[in-house]
Amino acid sequence: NTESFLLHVPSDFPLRKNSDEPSSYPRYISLHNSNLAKTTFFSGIEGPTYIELKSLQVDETYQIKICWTALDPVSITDIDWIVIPHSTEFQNTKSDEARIFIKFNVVADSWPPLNQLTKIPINVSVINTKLGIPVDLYKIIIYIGLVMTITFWINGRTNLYELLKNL
Amino acid sequence: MFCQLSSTFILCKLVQYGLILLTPRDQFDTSTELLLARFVSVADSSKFWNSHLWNKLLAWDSVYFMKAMASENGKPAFEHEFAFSQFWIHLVRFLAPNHEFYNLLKTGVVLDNILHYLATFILYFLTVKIFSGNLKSSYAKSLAKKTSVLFIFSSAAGFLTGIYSEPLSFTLSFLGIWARQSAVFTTLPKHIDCLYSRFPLYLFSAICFSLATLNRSNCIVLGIYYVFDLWQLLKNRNYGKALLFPLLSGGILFLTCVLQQYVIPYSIFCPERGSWCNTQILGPFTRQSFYGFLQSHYWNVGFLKYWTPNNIPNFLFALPNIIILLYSSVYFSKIYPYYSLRPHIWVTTSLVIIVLLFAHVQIINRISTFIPLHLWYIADRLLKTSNSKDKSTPRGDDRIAHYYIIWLIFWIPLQTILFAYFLPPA
Repeated sequence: NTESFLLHVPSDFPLRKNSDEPSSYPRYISLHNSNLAKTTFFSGIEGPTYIELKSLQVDETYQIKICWTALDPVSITDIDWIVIPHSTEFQNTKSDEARIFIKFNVVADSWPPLNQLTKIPINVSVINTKLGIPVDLYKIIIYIGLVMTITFWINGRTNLYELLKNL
Repeated sequence: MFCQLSSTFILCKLVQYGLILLTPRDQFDTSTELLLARFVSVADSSKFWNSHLWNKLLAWDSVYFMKAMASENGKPAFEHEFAFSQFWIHLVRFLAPNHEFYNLLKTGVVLDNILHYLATFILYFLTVKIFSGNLKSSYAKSLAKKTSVLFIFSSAAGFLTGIYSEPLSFTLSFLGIWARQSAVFTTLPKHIDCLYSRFPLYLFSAICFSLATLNRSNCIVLGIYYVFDLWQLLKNRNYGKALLFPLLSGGILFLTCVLQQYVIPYSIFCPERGSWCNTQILGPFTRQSFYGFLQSHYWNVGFLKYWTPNNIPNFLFALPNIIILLYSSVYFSKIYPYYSLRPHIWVTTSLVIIVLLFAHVQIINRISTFIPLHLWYIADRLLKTSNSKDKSTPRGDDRIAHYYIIWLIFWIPLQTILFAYFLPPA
């Protein structure tokens, strides 16, 4: 299962240049020197999950992709992102620069019900987009384009419809 | 015929598995690694063939099948997992050398391909049987060969490379249709009759249809064959045969559904489950069937519930098959009225209406594989145009058949790649 949304960092967003210091917040994903990152988090089902995004670039758009396996009878709801201003305390952590968090709820819906203490493995990916396309999709788009072109060429040369007709 | 169909089958599968091998490994939906982490070691899942082939066959419903197959007792852990065929799960567990994850996966994939291969030939002989009564047998054999080739290049495409339960259903369905067709014959002008000597075959069709329905609930529309036969025999005042043939067989199919949809779930879950258990009418019978509840509660399935703007792409994915299924019904009703096909038309039309109004419509590309009418339609048009000297662009039905085949030529590789990369449509 997948839920995703696009996050655009405004050009005037007060981001410090490319720092690789670990976050004071326990859950974070860093895009330091990379345009995509993926981390597995174990989220509870009793409250929202917050994850800090570090080393983003201003004036860039990112796809936030949340994936979980159908082994776990849950759904991901209330997906959003928030900005915590600099020097503002958030869940017992503080930073002297503005921080970006994504937020989502893991909702269990099954019978028998899941144990409330269950931790669900969730893959969160942050992927830079270029021309509105997440960069990790370029290779599959090229691959599909190539296969469709080859299919078109094969069909052009052999006319599979006629082949089937005269079978 | 045998070599030609076999080589076509092998070619099709080689192309599909070749495309899967070359598909990039980091899938769009990254949850496959979370599934694998639950069952196998990283070292195991990173081996060449696992990472380049087998791991790419675990998209969408495969997760539910693998979870149950690899579980302790093969049983679902949660209520909604009962929506996936217990029959198929236990069959793979039974045939697998052991219940190790990749052994189960490989057994399921091999079994799916064997069933697809077998069904290709069952469909061939079914087609010859049905159309020989009305045509020269050479024409029927040509029609059958084209039908089987079209069945090999099925619109289910990538779903038939994995461990889905469709192959088990379409094999049982074709076997059941063949068995019924062997026991029934058309009497002029528009009547049918059954042979007492062929009663075991008719009963065998009921067993096939019941198992197919146990495996996939959409096969319930196969019961329409019995409704048709019952109506025909009653019309001819053939009450004895009406009782012994369609009523008994239909009763077996109905009983199977009652057990699967009401008695067994009620005994497992009620009364402590509450919810749908509380809609009890009498004994294990509840106002909403178990399967109906699962589909509406967990997958938001219901009358016109799928008709939302964001599902327009899914309707477009389904459009070619909706068109071809409906046109085949019209074709064999009006243009090529062959009375023996009348029940097939009822079954096909019912399936399209049900899927269009109630289900996630794009699944018609894979679940329509258990009925052959649209394949006969395309095969017949191909045969008619191959004999004609007129080489101008196809018109009418021939144009529809032509466009559908062109769509298939591009859809099969495309959908195989989308499945391997864990991209929609599901």
